[in-house]
Amino acid sequence: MAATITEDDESRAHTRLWQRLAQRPLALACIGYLLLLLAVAIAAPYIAPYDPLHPDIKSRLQGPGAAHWFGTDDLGRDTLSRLIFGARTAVLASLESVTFGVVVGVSIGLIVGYLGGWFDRIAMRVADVMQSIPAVLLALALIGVLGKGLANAMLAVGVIFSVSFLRITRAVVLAEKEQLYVDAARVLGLRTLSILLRQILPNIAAPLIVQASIALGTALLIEAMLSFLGVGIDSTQVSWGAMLETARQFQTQQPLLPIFPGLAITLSVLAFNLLGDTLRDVLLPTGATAPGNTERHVVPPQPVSTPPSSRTDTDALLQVSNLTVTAPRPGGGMAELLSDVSVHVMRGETLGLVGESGCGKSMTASAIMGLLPPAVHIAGGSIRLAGTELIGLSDDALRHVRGRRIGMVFQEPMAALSPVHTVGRQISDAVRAHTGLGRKQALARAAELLALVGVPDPHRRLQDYPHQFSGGMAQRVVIAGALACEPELLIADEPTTALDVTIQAQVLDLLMDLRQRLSMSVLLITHDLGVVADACDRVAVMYGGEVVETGSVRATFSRPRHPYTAALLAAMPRGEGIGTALATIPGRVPPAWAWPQGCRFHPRCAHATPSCRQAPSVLQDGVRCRRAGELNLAEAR
Amino acid sequence: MTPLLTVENLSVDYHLKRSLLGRGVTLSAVRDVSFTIERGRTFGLVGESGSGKSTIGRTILGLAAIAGGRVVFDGTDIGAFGAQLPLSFRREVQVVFQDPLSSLNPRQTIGTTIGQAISRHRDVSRHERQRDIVTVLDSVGLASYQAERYPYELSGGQRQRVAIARALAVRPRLIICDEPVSALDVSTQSQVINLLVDLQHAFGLSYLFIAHNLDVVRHISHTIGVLYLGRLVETGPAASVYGAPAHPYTQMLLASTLVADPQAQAARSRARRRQPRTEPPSPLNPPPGCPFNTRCAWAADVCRTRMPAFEATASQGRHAACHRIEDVRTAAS
Repeated sequence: MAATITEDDESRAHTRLWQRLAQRPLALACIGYLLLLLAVAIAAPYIAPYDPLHPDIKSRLQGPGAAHWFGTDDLGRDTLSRLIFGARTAVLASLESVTFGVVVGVSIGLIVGYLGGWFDRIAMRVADVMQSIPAVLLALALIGVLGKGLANAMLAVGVIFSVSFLRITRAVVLAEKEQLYVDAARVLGLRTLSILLRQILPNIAAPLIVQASIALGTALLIEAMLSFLGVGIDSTQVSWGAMLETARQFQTQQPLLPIFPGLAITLSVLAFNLLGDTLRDVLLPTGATAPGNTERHVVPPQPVSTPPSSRTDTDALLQVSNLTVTAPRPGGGMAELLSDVSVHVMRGETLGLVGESGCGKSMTASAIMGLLPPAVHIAGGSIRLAGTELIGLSDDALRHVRGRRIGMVFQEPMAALSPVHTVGRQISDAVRAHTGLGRKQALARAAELLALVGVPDPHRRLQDYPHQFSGGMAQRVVIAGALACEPELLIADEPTTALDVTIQAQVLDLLMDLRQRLSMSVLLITHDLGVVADACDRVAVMYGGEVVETGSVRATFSRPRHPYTAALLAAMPRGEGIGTALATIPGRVPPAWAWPQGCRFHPRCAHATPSCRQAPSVLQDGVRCRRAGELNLAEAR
Repeated sequence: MTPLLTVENLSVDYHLKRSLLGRGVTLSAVRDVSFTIERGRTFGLVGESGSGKSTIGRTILGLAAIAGGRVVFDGTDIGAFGAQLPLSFRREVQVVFQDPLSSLNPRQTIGTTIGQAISRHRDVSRHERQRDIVTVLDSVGLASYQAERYPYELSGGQRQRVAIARALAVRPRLIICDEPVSALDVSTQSQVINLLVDLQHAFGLSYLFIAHNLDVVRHISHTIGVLYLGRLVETGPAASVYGAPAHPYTQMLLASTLVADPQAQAARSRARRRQPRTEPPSPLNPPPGCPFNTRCAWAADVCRTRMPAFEATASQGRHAACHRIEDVRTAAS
């Protein structure tokens, strides 16, 4: 049996819903108001000072006073008591219609969304028809058939709501049922009902809760409107809408009358809607992040003029020295995402930057491009491109460097291309942005570039959209775009990871060929040691935000000196059969805010000694391991 | 003894773009595929995207409909079950998907996910279920406290262990592993591969191991099948297919698979640069004749007109579909 992995407990990054809501005072105010409204509605008979229906002609149309805090209406009924009982009507009516809408709409939506086929088509055509009928009109019609009464009216509103809940539910179920966990549940043989209610429903609840909150506000408004028109409540009920109608008639005699019911309606609807908006931000993935993490740190980074620890190669096109990048850690303080990273790329050379995810490869590339995410900033070090310091350059100057002197290729070619513009337009835009060529010349240049990256029939393909290209061809297009201005340095971040193996090989061959023909330098970021072996001259291995070993690919891969490099190499299957166990590295890369003390690799290292735990290792002679001299790691393979 | 799983001339179609008039395009995702999986053995299915390898797995799991041929599990034709596969079959065949994050319900703890699988298939008390959850987590190398965790709290490798634990929980005989290590980092990948091998020994499991990396498939499989555009082009014992690929496509695949050894990789690079550089054709519109003829260095006239038969080759236990198999073999030796 496999050994139990002992891993450090990570702090739970996800906070509970109420904690996230608690950071938003407006949401708390809305929830507080709505809870108060609910409490008032429930306790109405106990807290109302007067009977809301009891007329008292002697004290009619009074203003606010000691006996009647909010005054009285045309029959001398107490406005405060009527407001309190009105809350009861409003809450009941809203809950009735929304509950009906949710129960009916969500159930049907779940079923038709999950089963699809004819159920779905019929249900959706019915929904189309229903949606074309205005809610109020249907309510009036239903009252005509079933008789007057708020319950009937709100039932009609509920029917209309159910259609919108059905639509939302169906749409999210259609997306959710493609998730693999639903397939896994089917393979386990779980019952359809259990899949719907226990697997899918909890995962689609967020948009439904948001919608329900907004629907409650709408329902409250419709109730008030119907009562205002006199078709909602009967004489034994009190409604804010009906109070407004009374106020309308007697406004000239008591101008304060409409204030209180009007305020009650406005505040309640506003509270429901604001709560819905906040829930949308908090529950749905596109919502803004918690306040405090969004502001960009505009600490002007300055190059630190410490003597670079690695040899300074005057011939290096790119020289990154002692680069340290920090970000705020959860719970306060700063975490070092990159520590003292020094790498260089010579002219015409391909450097492979390799390591597992979370080791800082892509962060290094982002720092070089000046494209660090908000809240992440450079704390020290220097990045020089052909002698020019890039840290501290203005945005304008950096933009000039990007694209013109440094080209960039990403992992997902389709994500890097705009789906609504032709490939010719996208490449020629890139050309024009940096060269000032005319439209025609830029297009001709785009065709040249496509030919350069091996896209067949380039002139015709300029007119095509990205979706008309296969993954491999799309990556060639992206490379063509990156080459638009003949950059000196091409940064390729996992350029072949999303491609099939045969296509990956073609794209790597293309990159190597272009490097030679255009005498470019390439910084190739990858997690695949095979890609490095195939395409790179030198390699820098990263672990835990540090460079742990650097050297020529041939030397490093045949005689690794750092235990991490050796362990990575040993973990690759190399054509042995099922009888041989693969070498593994226990545990995993820790998050940046939990780098271990001492050598960052020591908890996972087979060769660690007590001294590795105490003091950090330094990069010396291309390897960051105090035992490099005594270990013979090539033997271990 | 009969094989645990027999796939006979399996064909699977996907109907795309069905319009209101009912007119649509039919994609032949899988055509005429036959192979067997023995008890306690691993059949590795390798191919690129669009080759139909995942579709074959989904068909065996009852997640895709059979258009032709048969899938026989332990003597029972699963095509005869109809749309809902019986629970008894669900108990026998389980799955591990590529992306462990999307294959685990984000709103359920690990314990709930595994507990559900156990309760559905065995009548257990609350206490027994808890005990079984701990046992199965232990068998995949996870600690019992991790039952309280949600998927987002685990690392990629741990999630994949949970997915394996969920499959194991019902005590199956066959697990369909659909690219189970493709989304993992190198060090985690080797942990999961070793785990799968250990579990096979411990429980006598059979695997259908689907992947695009020939090195990984070679490592874990007893038998390999190479798929191209929905058709098997080559099958045989893992060591011999990997050591001396017979079909030009298998050769191309092997030459394109990168190794972390600069010398060996240089040799593979040379081999792959001899291959024609063409794009794979669209599965919607496969070329006539041998589907590989547009990318094949050996393609002759017959390859462009006639589909090659899937036949036994000169070497023991191996089959390939290539008109020019003899010429390819003599050139290699």
